[in-house]
Parts: sequence; structure tokens; C-alpha cells
Amino acid sequence: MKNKDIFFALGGIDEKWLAEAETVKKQSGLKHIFTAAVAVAACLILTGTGVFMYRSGVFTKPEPSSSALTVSTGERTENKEEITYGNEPSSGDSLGGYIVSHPVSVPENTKITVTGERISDEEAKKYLAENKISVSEALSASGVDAGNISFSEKGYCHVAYSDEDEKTLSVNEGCRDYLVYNGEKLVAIITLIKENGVVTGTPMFGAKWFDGYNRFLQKNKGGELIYVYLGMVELVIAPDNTVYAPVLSPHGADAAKLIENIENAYEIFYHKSAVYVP
Amino acid sequence: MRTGSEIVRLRTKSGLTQEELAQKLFVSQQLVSLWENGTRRPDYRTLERMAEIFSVDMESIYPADRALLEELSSCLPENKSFSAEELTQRLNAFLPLLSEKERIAFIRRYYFADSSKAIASMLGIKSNNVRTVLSRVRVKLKNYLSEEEK
Repeated sequence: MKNKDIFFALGGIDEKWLAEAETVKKQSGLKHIFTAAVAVAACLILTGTGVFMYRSGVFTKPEPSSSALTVSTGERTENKEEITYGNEPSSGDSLGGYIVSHPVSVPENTKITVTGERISDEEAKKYLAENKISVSEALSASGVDAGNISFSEKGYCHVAYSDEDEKTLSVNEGCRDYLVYNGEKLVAIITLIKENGVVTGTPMFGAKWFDGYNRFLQKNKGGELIYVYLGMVELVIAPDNTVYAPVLSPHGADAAKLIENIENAYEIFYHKSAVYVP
Repeated sequence: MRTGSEIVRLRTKSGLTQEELAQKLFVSQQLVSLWENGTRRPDYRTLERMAEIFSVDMESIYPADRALLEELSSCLPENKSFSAEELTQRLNAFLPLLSEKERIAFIRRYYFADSSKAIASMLGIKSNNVRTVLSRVRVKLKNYLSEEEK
């Protein structure tokens, strides 16, 4: 027995213990956000005191401050057209990890907790522009036609449904997906992750389900799609409550069954960070 | 834990897509994506198969920090041996015996390779306390693995 073996054996730890350890990290992140909020509040109080002192003639030159808030909105569309998204099913495609295979119930608390370091579209755009060549090379190395790639203008996070002791909803704003097109064809999805202020990205490409997923996006063009993780299963909910699971649906699975117990799933899972308008 | 980048490098060098690698390893593409993101680690057997596919040794896929390995070496009973499956199984049986704090500290340190300082911040305790907790867990694990062998 070598000490390296125990390190590698740790790779097989049960998902529930990993989830527990991850939850603590997320909660810790929230505490930091709270601390930052307290610090901002303290700054505001100090600024107010400063302005008061300036007006009282103690200071001669107060520093101006400004803030900007952007709110994105999108149109919801109704489209009842029947359409098939499926690709040919392939064998041996087990999902691994924590898989939701039964309909989930309504969370006790439908408030969506925000975690992670928020990635702005501007930060993402900068990262993607700087890494366009390496993404293109990685795609080409895998035999994907990448002569004319472009990235989606906006990205999306996922509302995560936790089915642990307490059913909760959260959205990690430090983990954001962007779509990569070659012309009109969806060829990759890049997941950007921000940790300690640094953005890194991992592309996922060459998946057989991309074509079906792209058709789903085309069908819902202009509508606000909501992205959800049920454990490790990714669901996309359209405004008309159509549910599509990019990986499962092309294999014939009825993804809507997973959330059939949740009325108004679209409203319950709706969070502006998890919206993508194709 | 950001060691998944080596999997990306080896996979693209081999001209494999995530889906193709997933098929070769009998796992989902999502799981490959999680490994590459660094949010999950492959288990021993999968890592072994991956090393075969890429014709490299396991350590080059997941280089373990030397300090981490030294800490882990103290968990192993002398003159005992376990298969990878046995060890994983026993680790999973051992973890519920720990307190929540001990378990989280152990997993954050040895699975996610977080520093004591980072763990201290998460648990709201001092780094020295984390080191003490980890040291206690390593002794417990060593005793547990020794007892199981009897």
C-alpha cells in the first residue's frame, strides 16, 4: 500500500459527503458576501459622515460616487408547434454521480439563494476573446469544424435543486455557460468559472446531442429559457413549460416527468441569472 | 482543486471529444466535464483506465501535492494492504463515523485539496484548529483501518 493509493482511492468518496463539503463552501461564500455587504454599509455610513463633515466645513473636497444597475428583460413567447429534437440513442451512456431519476417535489423554500463570484458578460466576453484561438484549436484537434467560431453574447447560470435533507434552490453566479457556434451550428459549450477573481473556462464539445439542443434553441428563439440542475441532470424550461434535457431528451427520456409534481415550474425556477434568450 | 486541466490536455492531444472519452470510460459526458472543471475526481479504477487510454501514469493525470501525500501516509497502518476498492469502501464506511466538522475538514483537505487556511475560513475556526482536527481524523482513520483488518 502506497500513500498515493489512498489519495486516488479518495476519488471514490460517496457523492453525499462531497455535496456536504461543497455546501459548507457555498455557505461560507454567502458569509463573505454578508461581510462585504456590512463593509459596504460601513463605507456608506462613513461617506455620509464625510459629506456631513464637508457640509460642516471640515473638508473642502468630497469624492463623488456613482453606481449603475442593469436589469435585463426578455419576451416570453408561446409556441405549441410539435417538433422532434432527438438524435440516435447510443448505448453505454450512463450518467454517473448524483442522478435524479424520479419526479422531485416542490422545495420547502422557493427562495433562490445566490452563491459564487458573479461573472459579468463583459468579463466573459474578454475571456472568450482572449481564448478564441485556443478554443478553436482545441475544437479542430478533436475533429470539429471550427473555421468560423463565435460565442453567444450572453451566458447563463443554472438554478440548482438540492434534494438533500432540505430541498433548496440556489444559483451559482460564478459558473456560467456560453454557447460556441461555427456559423449556425452549435459546436461547443464553454463553462466559465470564477474563483478568487480569476475566470477560467472548460469547453465541452463534439456531443451528439448538440444538434437536437440547437433545434430546441431555434424553436424557442426570443423566449426566456430557464436552466436548472436537478442533481447532475440539466433541464431547460421554456416559457410554455416545455422541458428539455439536453443529454436525456435525445435518448427518448421524458424530462418533463422529473418536475411534473411542481406546478408553475417555470416561475419557481425562474432566476434572471439562469435565463438565456436564444 | 484545479487539476482537471491535465485531463483536457491529454484528451485533446489524443483527439478525443468528452463524449468519446466518456464512452471509453463507461461514464457520462457530464461527469467528464466535471472532472475537467475540477469539481469532481475520477475514482481509482476510472483513473487507472484513463491512464491506460492516454498511456501515462495516474500521477501525471492527478499530481498529488507532496505535503498532502505525506499527511495521508500517516493514515495507513503499517504492514497492511488493501485493494483500491477495499480502501474506497472503507473510507465511505469511515466517514459517517466522524463528526460533521471532522468529515468536512477531511474531504475539503484530501479530496478538494484545500489549504488549512481555506478550510478554517469555511468552518469559521482557526487554521491551527483545522490542523488539529485533521491530525485527529488521520489517527482515527489509521485505527479504523487497523481494526478492520483484525
